[in-house]
Amino acid sequence: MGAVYRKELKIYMSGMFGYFIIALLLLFMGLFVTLFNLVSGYSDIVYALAGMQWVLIVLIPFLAMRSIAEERHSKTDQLLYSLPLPMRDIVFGKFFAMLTVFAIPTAISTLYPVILTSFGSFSLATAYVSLLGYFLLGISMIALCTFLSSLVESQILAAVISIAALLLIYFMDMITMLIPASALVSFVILAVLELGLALLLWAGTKNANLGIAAAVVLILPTAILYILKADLFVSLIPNFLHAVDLFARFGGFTYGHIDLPGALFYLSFTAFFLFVTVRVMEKRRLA
Amino acid sequence: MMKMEDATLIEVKNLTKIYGDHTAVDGLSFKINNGKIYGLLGPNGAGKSTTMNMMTGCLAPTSGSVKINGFDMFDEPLRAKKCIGYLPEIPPVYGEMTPLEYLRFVADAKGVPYNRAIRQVQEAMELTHIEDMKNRLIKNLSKGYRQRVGIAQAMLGNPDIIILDEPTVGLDPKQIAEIRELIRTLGEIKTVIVSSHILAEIQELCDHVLIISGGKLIANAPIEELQNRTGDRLRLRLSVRGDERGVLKVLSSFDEIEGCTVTGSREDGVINLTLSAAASDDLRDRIFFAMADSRYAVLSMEKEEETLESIFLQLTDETPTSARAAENDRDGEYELIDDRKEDRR
Repeated sequence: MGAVYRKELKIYMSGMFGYFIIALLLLFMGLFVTLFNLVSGYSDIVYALAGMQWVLIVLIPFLAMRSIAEERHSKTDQLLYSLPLPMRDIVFGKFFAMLTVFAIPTAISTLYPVILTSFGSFSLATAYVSLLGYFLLGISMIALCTFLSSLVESQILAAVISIAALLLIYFMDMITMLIPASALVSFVILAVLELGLALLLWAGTKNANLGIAAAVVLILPTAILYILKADLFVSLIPNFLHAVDLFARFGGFTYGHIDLPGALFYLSFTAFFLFVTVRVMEKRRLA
Repeated sequence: MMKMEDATLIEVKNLTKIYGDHTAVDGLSFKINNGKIYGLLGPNGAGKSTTMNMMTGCLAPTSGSVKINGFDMFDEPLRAKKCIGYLPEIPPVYGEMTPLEYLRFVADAKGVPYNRAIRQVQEAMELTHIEDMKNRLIKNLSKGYRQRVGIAQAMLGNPDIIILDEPTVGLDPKQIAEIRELIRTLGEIKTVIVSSHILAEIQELCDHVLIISGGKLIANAPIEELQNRTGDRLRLRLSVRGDERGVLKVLSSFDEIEGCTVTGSREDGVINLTLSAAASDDLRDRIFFAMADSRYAVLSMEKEEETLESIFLQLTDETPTSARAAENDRDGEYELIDDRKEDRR
C-alpha cells in the first residue's frame, strides 16, 4: 500500500493539481469564516462548514476523478495488475493519498476556532466536532468519487458523474419529500428497481432465462411480503434514502458531542465504496 | 545470475479466453524453460497480447492455468508475479513522473528493500541507457525512451522472466535496432519472452519460436528446427504464357510436384503458379524444357527460399488471397529494413 500511496501523493504534489485543490479549500474556508464569523458575528463554525459542503461537491470530484479512470486511460493499470500487489493495497493507497490532500487544508482549518476564541465566546468542542464531521463527510465523498472513477475511462466523465451523484445526494431530502409514505408506493418503487436489476442482468449476460429467473426470485418474495405485512413497506423508500443521505448526517456533529452512529455511518460508507472499487477492478481483470 | 538450463519456468495449460462469442485464445499449452529468448509470433489479432496478459496476471483466463516457477498465477498471484517483469504493449509509465521517480516507485511496489532498490534502479537505467533522461518528466520523453523506461521497469525486482509485448512497435528504425540490442543483452542474463508480428525480428532475436494464429498454437520449436523443417522442399514461382489446362497437364507429368496453385494472371494468356515439390534436386531445368517442348513460354521462374517467413505464411494461412495480403505486410517489413540501411548511411 505504501508504494502506491507515495506514488499517488507524488503525482498530486509534483504538479499544480494538489496545491490547487488545497489552496481552493483554504481560500473558501477563509472566505466563509470571514463572512459568517468575523463579519456576521456567528459564534459557530458550522455555518462556514455548511458552505464548505458546496465547495466539496465541486472539488472532491476533481480530486478523485483521475484516481482510477486515468490509470485505465493511459493503460498504466496493466502495470498495477502485473505488480505483486493485492488490489486492496492499490485502492487503499490511492484513497489515503487523496485523504492526505484533503487532510492538509482541514488540518490548517483547525486553527480558525483557536483564532476565533479571541473575538468572544466560542465553543471549541462544538467547532472541533463539526470539523471532524466535515472531515468524515469529505472522506466519504472521496470514496464515492473513487468508485465512480473506477467505472469510466475518462477523467472528465468521472468528474461529471461524481458531481451529479453528489448533487443528487445533497438534494436527497427534497427528493424524499416528494415520495409519499404509503406502503404501496414503496412497494412499487422497490418492484421497479428489482425489475431494472433483472433487466440489467439480462442485458449483461444475454441470457433471457436468467433475467426472468432473477425477476421472479426478486419480485415474488417482495410481493408476498407486501401482501402479508404491508406496514413493513410504509415509508420504506423515504427512510432508506434518508439513511444514505451523506449531508444530513453532518447535522449530528454540530451539537458539540461526537455523533457515534454518524461517525460509524461515514466510515462504513467509505469502506463500502472502497470495497466495491476493489471488486470492480478485480472484475475488470475477468472481463 | 546463474542460468540453470532446461528448468521449466512457465507452464501454460489449456489457456483459453473467450470474449462473448469470440474466442481470442483457444486452449494454449506450452512450457517456457530457463535461459532462452522466446519469440511469440503471430499476425495482428492472433491473441499474442491476450496470452501475455494472462501469463502476467493482468487478465483472468476463461479456463486453463498458468504456473510461474510452480506458483499458480491465480491461486498465488503475488508469489507468481514476483518472478515476472512485464512490459505491456503500451509502456505503462506515468507522464507526471521522472524515470527515476517512476523506477523507484516500481521497485518499491515490487517490495525491493530501499538500499537494494537504489542499486537496482541504477543498474536498470545503465543497461537501458536512460541515465541522461532520469530527471526529465516521462511525458516529455520520446516513444523510444518511454519504451526503455518500460523495459527498465520490467527488470526491477530481479525477476527470472521478462515478458515484452511488441517492444519495437511504433519506434523508428534506429530505436528498433537499439531495443533489439537491449533485448539481446537481457537475454544473456534472463529468460526473455518477446512477442512480435514481425518475422525478421523474431528470427534475429530468438532461440525458440511459438507461433500463434487465431488463438491457437501452431508451432513450438527451436528456430533452427523450424527453418530446417521444410528445408528439403522446393518451392517455385513461375509465370507461363499458355492456357491453364495445358500448363497443368505438362506439370502433372512430374511425380515430384506435390502441390500446385494457380495464383491468377496479370496479363492475358499468362498464368502465375506456385509449385511445391518434395524433390531435393532442382526441377527448374526439366520444367523449363518440358514447357518448351509443349510450346509454352516460361516468362519467369524463381526459386523461393524457405525462410521462416514462408513457413509462417504456410502455417498461419493456406489460402492464396490471405497469403497475398500477408505478402503485402511483408513488403512493409522489407521497406522498414531498407529504411534502416539508409539510416546507417
